[in-house]
Amino acid sequence: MGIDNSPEMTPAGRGRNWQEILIVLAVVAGLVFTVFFSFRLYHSIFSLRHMHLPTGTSDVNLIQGWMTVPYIAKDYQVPETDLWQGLSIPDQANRRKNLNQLDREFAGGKPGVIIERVKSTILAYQTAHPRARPLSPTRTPLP
Amino acid sequence: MNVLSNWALSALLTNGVPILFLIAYGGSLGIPFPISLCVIAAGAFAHQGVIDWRLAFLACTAGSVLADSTEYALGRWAAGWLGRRFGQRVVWKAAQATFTRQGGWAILLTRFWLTTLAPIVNLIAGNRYPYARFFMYDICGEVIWVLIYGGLGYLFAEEWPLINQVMSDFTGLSIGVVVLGVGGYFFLRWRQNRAGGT
Repeated sequence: MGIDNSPEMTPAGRGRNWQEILIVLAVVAGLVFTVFFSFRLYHSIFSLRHMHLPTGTSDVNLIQGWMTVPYIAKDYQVPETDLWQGLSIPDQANRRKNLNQLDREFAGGKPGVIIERVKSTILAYQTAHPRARPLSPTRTPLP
Repeated sequence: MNVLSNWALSALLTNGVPILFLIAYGGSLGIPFPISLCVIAAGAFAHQGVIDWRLAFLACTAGSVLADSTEYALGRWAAGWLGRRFGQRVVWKAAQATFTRQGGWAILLTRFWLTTLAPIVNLIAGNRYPYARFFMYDICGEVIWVLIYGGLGYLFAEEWPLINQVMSDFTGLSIGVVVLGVGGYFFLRWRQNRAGGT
């Protein structure tokens, strides 16, 4: 499968050259993928091993825009009515919307306003009810 | 997290198992839905009591098996054209013979390990591989896939987004190792041929 160095290369010779190029590309791509994802995997596992908050605490900074109010209420063990009151938004017709959608509809499209209100409502509730803190909220922010 | 992942997770929270079935079906068909993220999240949501784990398990398995069967049917439908186009080539015949002998492993492993290759394997299987055998390997592989991904989400419910990151990195590493292995194998053969030719 050697490289044909003749001035006028035959179609078979050109085919062999393409095969050689593909083999080299596969080896290089495989090496790049392997090294890149090895580092990423090592970093992810390292993060996983060091990602433990003390039991009984909850981090409101982990609240994300895809979450809905009923889900947050369940996860953080805060009454749903308290959250809706804190947001000053009626729960009817809004229970199935996520925080990003509520931002668009009730905060003039400013990103993060509703999330901040939810955070402050939860913090206020947790301060008033210290024993009601959840044992297992979703702790890790998405990358 | 991108818009599609945001949408998928919100839809999973609000619609539950039916949307999980649709995501499993679409994602297994090759549509770029965040299927692994959703299965891991479904495991975590089941742990948090948001969805029923039995229904979630059924939805993931049924959706992915149905998608695989759809691709198998597509492969069978295209078999005539492929046969006319490539049927006389030696490489094609050799590939078919190899798949008939060892296709079961390819079907099984691409369900839960090299999942990116699953649609291609399904299309190839549809060409000649018996459906009953395909279905058996397929359902076993998909059950393993759902148990691994959903189970990790369930067990590590508090850190499920990070588990998703670990699994996607592991998949990337696996693909890299396989590409490197195949490339290395052909590189060694090329060197042997060149040494033999001189």
